[in-house]
Amino acid sequence: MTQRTNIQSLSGAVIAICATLPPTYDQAGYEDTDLVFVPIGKVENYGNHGLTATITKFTPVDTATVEKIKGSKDYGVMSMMFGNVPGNAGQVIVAAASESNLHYSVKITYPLGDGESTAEVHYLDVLVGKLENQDGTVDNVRKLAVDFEICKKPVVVAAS
Amino acid sequence: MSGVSVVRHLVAHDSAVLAVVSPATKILVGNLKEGTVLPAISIKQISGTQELDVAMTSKRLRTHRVQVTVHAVSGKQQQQLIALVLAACPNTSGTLNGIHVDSILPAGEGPDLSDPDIPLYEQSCDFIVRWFTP
Repeated sequence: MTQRTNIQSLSGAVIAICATLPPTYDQAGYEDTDLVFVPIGKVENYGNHGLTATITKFTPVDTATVEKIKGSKDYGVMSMMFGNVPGNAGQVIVAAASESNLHYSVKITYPLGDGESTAEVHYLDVLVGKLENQDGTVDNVRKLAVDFEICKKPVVVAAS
Repeated sequence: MSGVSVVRHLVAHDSAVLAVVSPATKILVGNLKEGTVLPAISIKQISGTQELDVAMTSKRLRTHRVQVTVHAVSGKQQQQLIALVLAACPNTSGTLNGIHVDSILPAGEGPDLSDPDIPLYEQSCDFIVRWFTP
C-alpha cells in the first residue's frame, strides 16, 4: 500500500453524482453496486470541503487568558464552478438536485499520485444548495456557480 | 483545425473580397512569397489558449488571436480591403469549414503602415476566434 509522498495538482480529478444514497455511510456502502455515479463535465473549480468546528471561547477575569472548547462540526460547502453544458448527464442530475430537498451522493476521484496504483476517493453526502447562472460579458464563457452543502463527514478511501 | 483556417475560409469565400483580391490563392496563410503580385492578403495566428477544466478529457474550447494583413497597391485600396475583411468575418457560431465555431470577435485594427516612397500600403486587423476541438 503506497500513498504518494509528493504534492499533487488537481488536474485529472473527476467528480460524479448519484441520486441514490448508500445503505451505510462507509466505503462498503458507497461502493454498493446500486450506486451509479455519473461524472459531471466541465468542472473548472472544485472549491473546498472538510471540517470547520465551532470554537466557543470563555475568558475568565483572573487569568485573562482565552479558554476554548470545541463545539459543533460543519463539513462545509463546496462552492464549485462549471462551464454551463445542459447536455451533460452529470449536470442534468445537479440541476434536478438543486430543485429537490433530497440528499445526493457525490464521489471525487483524485488523480493517481506518484507511486499509487489506486486513486484516493472521497464520498460525500450533499444537498445542492445553489445553482446560479453566471453570464457576464461577451468574452465570458457561460458558467454555473453551484454549492454542494456537505451533510456528513466525508468517507475517504485512501490511495494505495 | 485552427482559428486561421476559419478566418481564411470566410475571407477567401467572400465575393466582395474576391472582386478586389483574385484569385483566392492570393489570400494565404503565412507570409507572402517574394514576387507576389498585389493586392494580396496574408493571415497568421498571433496567439492561442485552451480552456482548462479539472478533468481535461472532453472536447474543449480553444481561443486563437488571428491577424489578417492586407497588402494593397494604394492607400485607398488598403482602406477598402480592411473594411471588406472586417465585413467578411461577422460574429459567427456553428459549423464552418468542418470546425465547430463558438464566436468570431473583432479584436482591433493595426497601424497604417503605408509609405508611398517604397511603395508600401499595409494594414492589419485582428480577430479572436473561439472554436471547439473535436
